[in-house]
Amino acid sequence: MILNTRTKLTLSLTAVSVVLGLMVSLGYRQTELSARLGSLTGSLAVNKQLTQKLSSLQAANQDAEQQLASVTASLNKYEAQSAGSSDELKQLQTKIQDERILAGTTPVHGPGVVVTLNDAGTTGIDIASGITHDWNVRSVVNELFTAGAEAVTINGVRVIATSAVNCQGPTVTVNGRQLAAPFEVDAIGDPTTLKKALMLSGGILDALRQQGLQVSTPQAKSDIQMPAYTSPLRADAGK
Amino acid sequence: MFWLPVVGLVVGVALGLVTNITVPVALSSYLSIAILAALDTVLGGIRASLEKSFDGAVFLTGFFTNTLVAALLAYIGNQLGVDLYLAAVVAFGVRLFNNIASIRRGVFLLLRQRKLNRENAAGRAQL
Repeated sequence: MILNTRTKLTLSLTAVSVVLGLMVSLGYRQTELSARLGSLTGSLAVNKQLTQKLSSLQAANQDAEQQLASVTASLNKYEAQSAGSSDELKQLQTKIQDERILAGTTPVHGPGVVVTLNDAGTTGIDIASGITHDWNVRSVVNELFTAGAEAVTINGVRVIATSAVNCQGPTVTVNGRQLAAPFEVDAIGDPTTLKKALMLSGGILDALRQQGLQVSTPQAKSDIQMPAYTSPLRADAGK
Repeated sequence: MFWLPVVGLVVGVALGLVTNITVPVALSSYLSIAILAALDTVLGGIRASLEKSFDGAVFLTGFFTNTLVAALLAYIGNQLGVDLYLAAVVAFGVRLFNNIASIRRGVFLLLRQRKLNRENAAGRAQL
């Protein structure tokens, strides 16, 4: 069968038109779909939704931490009760409690010192040195542990063996939590020793003052309350 | 016979809207390039038919190869981190306008030719 040019033209145009129409409608639906998902535009509504989700997650996190703290408290109480009158058990109990305080897994209170580090005021000092850096906070924490501190918190976040004090942009993170200046470092231990260690002339606080930071005089406190470390504890590699 | 391609277009669009085919998001940029290439080829075919140089085989192969090559170009550009699809957009865009201009000119010529023929016929009738 021989088709004339006219028929051939019409037929091939028709075939191609079907394919073109199919592609156009698919493309149209695709664009519509992604506009609805906001994946291309990142619309305001989607951002709002995500922000709400984040804040609800944060609230849930806080609730869970409070629950954990109360469960740990009641666990300690039951342990103390179960020890009963046996001396050996009581001794073990005290040892466990001590270990927990040092590990940071239990709330603790006792005498200690408080020192506050803050960024330099607007005194025309070099910006970079006028900021309280992660290593500034870290050196104060190290000094306190060296002087025999048993428990340390930075802005209420407990520092334990696996805690890292590191820099994240304009903030400092401890246990994955972002903290900002002023940094209040609390330490439980012998107040006189801790205070003397900090106030050593030419010591750590003097060095920070030299850098331009506003460092408070360490205050001895008769009773400091500290929360427990609440993030998960993991020891996968160590045996 | 002129309405058949239009019917085809409508059928294609309806097919795409009614059936539940979706293109993966990663491929959606290739789809838009392919659409541009296809549109260019269709206009090129119309132009060729007006210029009486239409060839069915050339047209059909041109449609599919242009579409595939455009998508391939966009893909290669993606892999290389060069916005190569922009080259396809510009090239097809320019050709699209050229084809439309040629079609317009061709239609004018056709109309003028018919008018001239009618006048000639009328003149011969008068003689």
